[in-house]
Amino acid sequence: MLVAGIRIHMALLAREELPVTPADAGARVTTRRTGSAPWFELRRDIPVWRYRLLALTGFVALLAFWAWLSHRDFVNPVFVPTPTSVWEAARDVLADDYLWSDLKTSAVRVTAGFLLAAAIGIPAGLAMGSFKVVEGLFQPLTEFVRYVPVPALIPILMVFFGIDELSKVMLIWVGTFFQLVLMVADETRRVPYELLQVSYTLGARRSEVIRRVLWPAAMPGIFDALRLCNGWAWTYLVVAELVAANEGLGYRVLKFSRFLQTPKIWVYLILLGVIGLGLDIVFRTVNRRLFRWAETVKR
Amino acid sequence: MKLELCDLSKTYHGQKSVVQALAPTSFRVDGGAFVTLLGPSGCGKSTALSLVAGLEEATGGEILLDGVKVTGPGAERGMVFQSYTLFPWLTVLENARFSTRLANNKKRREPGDGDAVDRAKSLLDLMGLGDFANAYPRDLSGGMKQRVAIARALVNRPKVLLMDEPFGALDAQTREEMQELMLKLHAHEGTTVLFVTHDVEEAIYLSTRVLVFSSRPGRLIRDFEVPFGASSERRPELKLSAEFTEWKRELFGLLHPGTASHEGRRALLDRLVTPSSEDRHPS
Repeated sequence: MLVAGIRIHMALLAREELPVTPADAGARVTTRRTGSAPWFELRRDIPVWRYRLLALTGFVALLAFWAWLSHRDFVNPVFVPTPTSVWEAARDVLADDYLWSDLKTSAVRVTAGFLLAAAIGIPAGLAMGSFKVVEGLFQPLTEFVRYVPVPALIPILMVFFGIDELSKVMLIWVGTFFQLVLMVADETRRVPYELLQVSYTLGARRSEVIRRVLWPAAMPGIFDALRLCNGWAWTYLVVAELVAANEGLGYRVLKFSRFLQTPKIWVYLILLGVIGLGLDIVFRTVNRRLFRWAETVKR
Repeated sequence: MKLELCDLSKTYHGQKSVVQALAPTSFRVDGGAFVTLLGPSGCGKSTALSLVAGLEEATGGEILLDGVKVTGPGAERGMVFQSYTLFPWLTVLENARFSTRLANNKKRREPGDGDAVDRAKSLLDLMGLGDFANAYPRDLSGGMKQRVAIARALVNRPKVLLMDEPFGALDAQTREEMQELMLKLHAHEGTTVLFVTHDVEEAIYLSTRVLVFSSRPGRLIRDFEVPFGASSERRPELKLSAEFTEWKRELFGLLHPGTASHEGRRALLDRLVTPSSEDRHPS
């Protein structure tokens, strides 16, 4: 990609026409990256390897602080177990069968709720961002529902959907759907109006403008909204499982807590963090792959 | 091809004020002409163009294209905007041939029109973009983006090409290159062009006819035939000739009436320090 970029630049120079777009300016900075890059330049990129090293340093520092803290006299080892005891607990947990069934149950719940939210939220958000009539009808309503604390809905959801899987899936749906709709609508509205106008002057019908212009133009933003919503879906999963469940990651944390097995709680918490981080990286990578054309996406 | 504007007017009703952007205006554009609407910002020239494009509704009057009333936007009136409007997710070639994939245009196509991709490619070649067919807009400079936008508007052989300050965002040198390209294109394609600019030199150099507008309310004040021959005969040296300079002086005087007097100079200064795009898109 970089080589292709340089070739285009040389072709441009040969034509005595200098590129002036921000994307080109960014590409030019990239080619300079090999030398000793500055550390503290406002919003300037730093080399990838340095970025990764810093990320690693953050984790190591946190681990070191934890290890230091857990050996102090003023902390109760029940609340702050040592890294070693957590490591041992992790080996126990990994050997247990219930970890895998917990993971499976939780993953199914979160995926079902999230996909349901996306399947309804994306078309609804597109319609809301495209037509003022739909916006007027649904946006204030959505804003209202969004401010109702989701955990407070658990009793109602249990009345409606029982105590089985459905109520948990619905809690995740409620928690993510209303956020997602608003974000998709915003992304749709962010598509420059001139793109729609120019499509009309090229002969597009309204349905074609939606399908061929509005939708692809909004897609990178919508995809990023999905990434954020997936994070919230995991949060509401744990909320649902803490309240009423007999399986799943959240339920297990609650159970460990009853028996004061804090090292195991930490194992599950770290696991939840790792899952979140992993999904985030997957979303970002897919986003970069799918939307190479976007001016804001780095190559 | 014959484009007629009959008593066309546009008034914007704001919450507090009513602005007449375009006073009733009539003119006629014949096939193959390169007609420029010239005037200061706020003179209604861009409004007139959006009305012809069908992107806005006229308050009064009507527009006839070959005798048929214009009621909305369509591919027979292609448009190039001042802002960059390429579809960033499509390559240069896909952008250029965008209109050929649309249902309305597929219906309109005739057997003699040839292959859509070939047409797009030959237009890109004409615009000097043959090597960039597979590049994405993010890799193009501003001038190149506008060249693709022009090719895209022309692929479907519009009856009239509408251009709203298409080179307004470009630097002076690129602007001159684009003007040369425009002349070449007009000579080659023979498309009728309705061009909007506030640049006097650009107007005279490119057009076969210049319509001068004045502001508040926007109205047509003068109609000039430009005597510098066909597009294919015009060369950059023309801009240095005495006759060209005389034309510039005359049109400049029309745009800045009473420049010699104190008030006139004040008015000119006011106009120069106000951003030119300020009232191009009243909302």
